[in-house]
Amino acid sequence: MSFLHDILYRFREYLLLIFAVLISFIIIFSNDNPQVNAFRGKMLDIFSFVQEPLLELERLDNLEKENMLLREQLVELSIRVQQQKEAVLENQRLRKLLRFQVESKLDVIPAKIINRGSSTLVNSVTINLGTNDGLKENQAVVISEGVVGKVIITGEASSVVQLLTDVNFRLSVKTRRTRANGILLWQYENICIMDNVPKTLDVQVGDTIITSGYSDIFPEGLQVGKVTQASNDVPGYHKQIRVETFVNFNELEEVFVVLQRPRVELAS
Amino acid sequence: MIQRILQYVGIGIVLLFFQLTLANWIRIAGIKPDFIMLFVLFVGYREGKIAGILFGFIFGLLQDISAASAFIGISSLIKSIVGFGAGFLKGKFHVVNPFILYAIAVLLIFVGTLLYFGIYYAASSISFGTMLQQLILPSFLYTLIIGSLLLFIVPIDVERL
Repeated sequence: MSFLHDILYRFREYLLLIFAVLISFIIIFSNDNPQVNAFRGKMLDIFSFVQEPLLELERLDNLEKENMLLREQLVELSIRVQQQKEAVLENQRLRKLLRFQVESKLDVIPAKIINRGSSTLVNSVTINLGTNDGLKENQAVVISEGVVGKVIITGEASSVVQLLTDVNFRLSVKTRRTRANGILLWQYENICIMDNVPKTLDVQVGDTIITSGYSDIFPEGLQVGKVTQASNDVPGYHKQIRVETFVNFNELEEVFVVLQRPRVELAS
Repeated sequence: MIQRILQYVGIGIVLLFFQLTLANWIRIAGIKPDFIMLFVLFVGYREGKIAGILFGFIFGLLQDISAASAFIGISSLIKSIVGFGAGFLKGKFHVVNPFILYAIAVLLIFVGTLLYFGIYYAASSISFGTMLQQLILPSFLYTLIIGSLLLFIVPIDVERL
């Protein structure tokens, strides 16, 4: 008996290790046991009680980070949406221009506005085409809505276009309905005056104004605007006619330069 | 004696608390240091094999339960063995070169981590190479770094404490 006691005492550490290992294995293999699971559940409740407030803090911290991340994503998405909207608008504009280029009888070349003139004397824009692209001075610049202006200075890769809204710009025009001729000059914003039209001629509000074709620059029949006011109640022999241009000069982005007079006209 | 046991129980509970909270906050790519492993090493080294086994078993079990581990019993098994191994180091500070003591402690941490993941993922399809690279070595190194840092607070010559 004392021998057994001696052995147990001598190897107590090893025996304890074997015992601990055995118990551990029993627990491992009893993981599916309902009683063990019930015990785990109770113990988890106790630990959850300790962990809950700390997890709450961690959750708050995570929420803050998530909030920041979502804000960043929101800004990114917002920018992307804006870019897509911009692309859609550009697409619409380019389609319109393309249609105009195909349908037009004029020999035109598309150009992009790269700068707006800062000079107070000349109301102008700079386009991305120059002599390298076949541009020359005094070529007409148009869009599908109507006349924009004319090329006044040409560089190799860019040119300056004097707009219809420049104070010194004069355009020979006529009414489409009655062919009454006059000279168009800019007044303010998109409003021009059609001058030199005798009071005897028939011009009414709503009449469309087109280019007369008398100049070497603008071919005949290009749309310019519509009459918004026609009155004889002014001194002198001429009517007072106000014309609103079809082109919105504040929204210009792409234009066409007319390289030469209409092919039909040239042929004739 | 009872006071000493209570002291260890207190340290163990604090470290278990750390394991549940601090370890989650300082985890790197999902890898956490094992404070209980360091605690069992400490107890075994200071008090011997029996204390190492007992504290290893109890706190290993508590660690498994508190961590809502898929298997309970693995940590108690591993920590009992580590505690037993650390018990061999008791009283050797003035006998063996401290670097050898440190190397043995490092070996015990590695074996403990290896056995833990080896058993835990035994039934899974993860290859040993992947397990070693992504779980065992990172966990072992993280625990080792934390343990080495703690040596600045708790000197290795703890028998004098």
